[in-house]
Amino acid sequence: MSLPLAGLILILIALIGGVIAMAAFIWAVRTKQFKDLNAGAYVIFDEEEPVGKVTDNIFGFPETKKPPASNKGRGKHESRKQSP
Amino acid sequence: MNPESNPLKIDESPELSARVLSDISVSRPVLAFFAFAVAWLLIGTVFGLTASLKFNFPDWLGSFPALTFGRVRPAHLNAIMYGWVSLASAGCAIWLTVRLCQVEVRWRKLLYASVLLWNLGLLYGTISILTGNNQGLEWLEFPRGAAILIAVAFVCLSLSILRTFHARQVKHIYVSLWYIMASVVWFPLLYVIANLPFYSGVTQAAVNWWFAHNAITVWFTPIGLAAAYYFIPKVVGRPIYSYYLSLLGFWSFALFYNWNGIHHLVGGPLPTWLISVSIVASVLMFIPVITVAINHHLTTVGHFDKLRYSPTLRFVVFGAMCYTAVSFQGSIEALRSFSEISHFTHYTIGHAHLGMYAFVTMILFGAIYYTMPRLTKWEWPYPVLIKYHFWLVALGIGLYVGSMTIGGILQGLYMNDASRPFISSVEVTQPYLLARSLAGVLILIGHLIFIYLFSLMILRRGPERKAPPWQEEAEVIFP
Repeated sequence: MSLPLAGLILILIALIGGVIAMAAFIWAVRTKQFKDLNAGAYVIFDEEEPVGKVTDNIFGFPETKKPPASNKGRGKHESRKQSP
Repeated sequence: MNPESNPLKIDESPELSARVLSDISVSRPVLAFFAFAVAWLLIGTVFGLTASLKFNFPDWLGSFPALTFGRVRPAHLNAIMYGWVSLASAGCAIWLTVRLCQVEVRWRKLLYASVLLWNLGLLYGTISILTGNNQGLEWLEFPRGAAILIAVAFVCLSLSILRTFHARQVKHIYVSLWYIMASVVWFPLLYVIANLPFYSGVTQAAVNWWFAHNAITVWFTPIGLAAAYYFIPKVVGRPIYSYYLSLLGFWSFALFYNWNGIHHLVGGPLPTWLISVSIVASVLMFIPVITVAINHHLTTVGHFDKLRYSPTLRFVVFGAMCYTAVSFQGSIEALRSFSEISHFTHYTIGHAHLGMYAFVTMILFGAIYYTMPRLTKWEWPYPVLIKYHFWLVALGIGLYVGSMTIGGILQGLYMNDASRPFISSVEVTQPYLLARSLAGVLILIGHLIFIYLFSLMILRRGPERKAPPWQEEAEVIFP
């Protein structure tokens, strides 16, 4: 294949790529993805793992070492165990 | 555990949340990706250390053609890039997608096909490199057959992730999901374009480096950042400091980063404007990098005590800090005046490892420490070994980057000094090359510890540690 033709094909692919990115951006604005941005930051939390709950403290478990009383994560997760 | 034949539906098991169900649905494919990733990590590390030792003992293994520097070094690069980092990133991307979409994974069989084809491609490609069948282009060494296998594997992965995304139950697209979607749309296109057979000469060099840098732009960095944007707030239990900044970061990243590749050819025989555009874009990268740095720091600030208790947070925060460092370093390195010293020296090797190891690999370790218990419903045994893993690789990579940075700058200064013979620029790097091999040994020991822990996790062996909530969930899943 000659280089100019190859170049044209590449430019076409690049344009398609650019159009995909533009379309994604316009779609995001239209579907209000950028409205109420603060709420968006909370989608990673749920009822069982709410804001304030530490979800990983392997080194803090009783078998290894006693964490200080100020460790919120452990406190929370003990209270979770006691409640049925 | 067989989610395939016994799919758990949300209505049938109301005691498990959508989050846990989506975890279970990807458990097998993600474990497969992680297991092969860890195998390639070991292979890649051994190749890397071998290549490093050859600088200290030039005759070592020199009688075996397959183990000469010119073959071991590209084998190291490809085993790590397309093996460990890509497979672990794929597993991480699948897991984050189902979590953030809150659905069970779609087209799971494509994921199994992907992991199979990927490994066939890697095996064929690595053996080809060792037997001397190398394309001669950095990052594109694999022969065409291996490249086709990997491209098809990546398309399978993309289709499954896009189909899962389409079925999402969450209206808002979280910033991590933006990064992942950009990756799975762009990387297959990029990889195919770069492997097309019609480039030659200077065009080939330009396409080569456009590809190599964009592999970082659209695959390694976005998955690393997606993981950091998920794990830091999730582990700490606090939303991202400024969600607005995170999205500004994503879109400016998408706009600037893909222009960067040609800065690898500063001083090369390309049109000057092409290189200048690339340098300008490299400096503009300060904008997305600063937004990410501010966000990650201000999300973690006040919670640094949690680094003591969470291996995930340790690895991910270490990686996020190194992302800022490596990006600043990269922007400066793109400048012509700095490139005069650093180009063609060990400095570049230090920079590459700061990016691919201290940033991406450390974040992937953190992601694996977080996801494994949720996939196998088994807590990590021997926490003290996790600490050894962290300190060995953290000190190892610190020593690595430090020695390469100093050694590289000295090498560059000596090479630019016309009054010194060329050999002095080689001799001056010797102690730093020895330090690098020592760093490689530390990193290898750390990896062996990690592989031991990972094997125990996959087999659900080792001391059973009471660590809710896996206990309660495991009782429902394995009655």
